[in-house]
Amino acid sequence: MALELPRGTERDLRKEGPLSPHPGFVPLQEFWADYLRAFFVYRHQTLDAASLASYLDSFFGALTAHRFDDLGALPIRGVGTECRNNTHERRPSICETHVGAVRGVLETHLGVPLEISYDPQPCRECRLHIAVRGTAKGDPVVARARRRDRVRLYDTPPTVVDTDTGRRTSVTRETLSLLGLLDDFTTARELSANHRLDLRRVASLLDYCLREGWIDHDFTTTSKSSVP
Amino acid sequence: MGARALAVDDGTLLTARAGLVLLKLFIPPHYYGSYLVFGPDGEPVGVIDEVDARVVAAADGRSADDLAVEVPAGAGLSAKQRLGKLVEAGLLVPGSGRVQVHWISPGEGTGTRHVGAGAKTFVRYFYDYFGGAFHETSPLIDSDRDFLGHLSPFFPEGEEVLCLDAGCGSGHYARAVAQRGHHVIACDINLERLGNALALQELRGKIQPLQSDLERLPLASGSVGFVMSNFVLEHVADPYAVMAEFARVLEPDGTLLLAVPNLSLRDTLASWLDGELPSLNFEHLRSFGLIPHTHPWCEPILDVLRFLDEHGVRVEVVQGVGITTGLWEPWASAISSVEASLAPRFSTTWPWNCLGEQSVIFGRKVR
Repeated sequence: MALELPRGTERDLRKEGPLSPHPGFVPLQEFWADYLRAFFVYRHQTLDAASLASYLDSFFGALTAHRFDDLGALPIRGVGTECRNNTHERRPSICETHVGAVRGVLETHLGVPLEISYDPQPCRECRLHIAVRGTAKGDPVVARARRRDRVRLYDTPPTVVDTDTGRRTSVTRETLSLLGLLDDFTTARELSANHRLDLRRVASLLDYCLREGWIDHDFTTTSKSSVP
Repeated sequence: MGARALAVDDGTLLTARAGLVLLKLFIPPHYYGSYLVFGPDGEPVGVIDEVDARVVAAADGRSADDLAVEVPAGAGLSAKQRLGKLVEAGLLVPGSGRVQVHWISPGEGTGTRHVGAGAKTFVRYFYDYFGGAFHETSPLIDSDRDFLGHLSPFFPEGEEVLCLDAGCGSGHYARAVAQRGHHVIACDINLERLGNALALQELRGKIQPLQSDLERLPLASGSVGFVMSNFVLEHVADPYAVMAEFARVLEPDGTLLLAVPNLSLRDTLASWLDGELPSLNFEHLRSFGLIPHTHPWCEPILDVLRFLDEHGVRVEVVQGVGITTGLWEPWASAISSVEASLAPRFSTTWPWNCLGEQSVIFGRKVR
């Protein structure tokens, strides 16, 4: 699976000119996360655990072989086997580069700020734990969804209309009812509690609605006091 | 370098940490003009923007209050925030006096040539790090293996020739030459990659590893029949010092093959007509191109050809690869008609041969 810079995207980035660079010092991991966010070719496609592993294998070459659990829910667990950097001369800069790249890919795919902890094992395996990034105080972060103002819902037949573009999309009743519930509820847990769908299904439908542009989201602590 | 928490008072005297190496980046949109920073231990630490770079350059024992004048208003972070982050990252330390900091950026007069201790240090640090993070088959270090088809027509034929693959990397091209019956000295600065280059059992005895800096090859003058260096000259500190070595070790009538990345016709037009910012792979210290100043890191390919000629290597072929890639209308139709009228000579005809995504240069030692 070859890594390619999409030419159209390159042109877009360049036409934007030298947007203000991130002010101040940017740690190595963050730089690589940014780099992958800018050039990640799967930006608009669904990514599963196997293709993510394959993509990272191709990006890093023979550094390590990646394997991930299901990407459907956070936290995600992954492992890098036979890591060439996982020796007695392990270099933190290479770990930070690697983790930054993984974070950039997943943040682009999931649309969620992440933090990745890594745990090198004596057998040269390195275990990755990928979770939603908490606030500086360590408060858990919750994603809150909001239906966009331009979206109109129609019941018969179940249809979503984007009034900006005029696009009409037929949807299932469960998707329609979920979008309707966003009038009163914002988190996946709240929606699941007030809908007959389980949490995983709600999360999947929210991802779909996000990709379609019908909802947006932000991240707050459980106390709704700050955004990370 | 560990993070240090240090309260930066206005009167604190600050100096740059000795031995920092900073590489200027051209990665749009957020890192165009920023610097990748290596610590004195050779490990990359992170990236700073141009404002921070001004602060680091000015930190010669000045007080924090004094350094704050280097930070313009509206620069995203306050001077105090910037200084605090730089201290925490270990790039500024308490102290007085000016220390040695190496800047790797295009210079007036020196262009993309980097000479001196700083350049050598940077190349060692960077490729040691990069080679540790990105391994065989990673596109960041391995050139497209399909490129062999553009190079193999220039490989020596007939009797066994002593060949040098300068910057052999994974050994892909060295193996291709050795499989034709030639003895190949596979040279690289990175010991691990040299090991990989020798992996094929059946070529044992045909490929000889050599760990060396290309600016100082431990080979006798006039001792090599064929020198090739594929997608290497964009990585070395001083490409002209390297090419001088190639000319030196070539025997009379020996041949030279170079492959380099080039600023393409599309990139050149977009830069000059559309104001588009060319980007540069940050592991490249230069790209080659027909029109000077298309990019801060653009090394004029005519200078390369002139240099080779001055050093006794007659350039026989310059071939552009991927000349029409990415062209948009009306250029695509216009250039396609030129290509059709010149085919098959299009890729080797001036000026098109210097406007491909890559350039292949073939020459012969004549004096």
